[in-house]
Amino acid sequence: MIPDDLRYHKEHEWVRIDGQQATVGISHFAQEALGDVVFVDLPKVESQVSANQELGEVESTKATSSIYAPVSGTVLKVNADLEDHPEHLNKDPYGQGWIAVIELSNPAEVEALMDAAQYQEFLNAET
Amino acid sequence: MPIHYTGILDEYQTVRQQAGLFDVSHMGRIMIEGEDAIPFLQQVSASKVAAIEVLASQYAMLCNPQGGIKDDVFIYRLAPKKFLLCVNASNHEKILDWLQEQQAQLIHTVEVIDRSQDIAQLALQGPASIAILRNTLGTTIDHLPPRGCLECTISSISLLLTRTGYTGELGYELYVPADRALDLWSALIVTGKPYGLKPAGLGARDLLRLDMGYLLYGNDITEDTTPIEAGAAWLVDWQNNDFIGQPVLTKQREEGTTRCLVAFELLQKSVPRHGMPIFDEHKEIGQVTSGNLSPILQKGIGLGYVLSAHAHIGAPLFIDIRGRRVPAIVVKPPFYKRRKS
Repeated sequence: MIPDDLRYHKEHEWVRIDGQQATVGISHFAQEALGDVVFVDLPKVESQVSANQELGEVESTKATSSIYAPVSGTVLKVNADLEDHPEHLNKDPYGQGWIAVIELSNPAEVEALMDAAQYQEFLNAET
Repeated sequence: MPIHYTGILDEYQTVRQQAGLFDVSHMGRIMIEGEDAIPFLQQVSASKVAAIEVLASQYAMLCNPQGGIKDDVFIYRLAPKKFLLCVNASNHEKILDWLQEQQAQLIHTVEVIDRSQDIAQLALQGPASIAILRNTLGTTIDHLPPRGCLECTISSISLLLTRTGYTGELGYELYVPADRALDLWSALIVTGKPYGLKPAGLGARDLLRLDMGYLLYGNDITEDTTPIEAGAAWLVDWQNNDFIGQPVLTKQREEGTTRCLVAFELLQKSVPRHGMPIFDEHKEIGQVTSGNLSPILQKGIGLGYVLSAHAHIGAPLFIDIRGRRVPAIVVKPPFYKRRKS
């Protein structure tokens, strides 16, 4: 459940890099830990975000959790479907459950993120 | 009881639509028996215990001398002078000690016996619960009224069946000898399967009770809140001048209180949580004690204490959700109104 083509942040977000754009979501591990997601507080389009700062919030039946921006930049798009279908975060965290697309302001930050193997090791160490 | 078995939302929907089985044996069960059982209970609780019929039950408040709530309990009258108290798990030891102290001080001819270890407690809740019980009992239980009790046998296990619960759905609780609890659980799960019965956990239980505006001890009520402040004045027997906390409650009833518990709905989609501040247009006026997103209403709902001037239906409130003031309105509970079957 850790796709090879993504990069991972220590707060369990993933990014998919496409040129200067990064699609962001939360990992399978994160959605499992959260439990049933009932509401997603999305960032605003065109807002500026900084790596490691709060990008949005996820409410599950258990608790509220922050989503952190794995990279810095400008929010280009958000997944408005999550407003009506927060369950996409649980059912398809790497697909329909994407959260936002960020235009990278510092592409070098991507290198600091974990690849799939490193993230797997990170999970093994954490759990 | 685990937080969940299959998932909180799945279990919640199962209870709303079919039926769920909860193991609530973590709660405390205390037997009060003896010649003075009624005067004793009318001293330690604010309820008119004498008015509970045999094989019926009542929700009741136990108060401290300051009127604060020691616990909210269910009192079952099993025989004219024999009562079963179902107390919150978190208060079990405290209440047991306190009842024994009171029993010694008041010199009542009454016994206070902890039965929590030898009696287990299951809750079968949901619209299908009656059909499942009809099937397991081989007899009709349609005549059992809300809060009624029935001694019966399921799969040759003798138990006390009560029409009570904490979900707002048609439902029952089963008090069973602890050494037969697992057998009963298995028998119900097997019989209930065709009706959609599933095990359900604490997460679903909390969402279900909040839909009804039911109070959770430790969150919505504590030793520092009184039944009057908590909107539970209807549980107080005003003819009884003897119960512990009575002078304070009577004074509050006459003079009012500074704060009151209210039920509120958010007017924008968001999720209120325990501890969030409540504001009016200008200033902080209270705090959320319980909050969540109701899966069936798809709305943020909650309970909280506010200054009494704001404690009327329709009063506008703002919930401070991490710095954002989300508009809300005071409503009359329950949030969720069950369709009549």
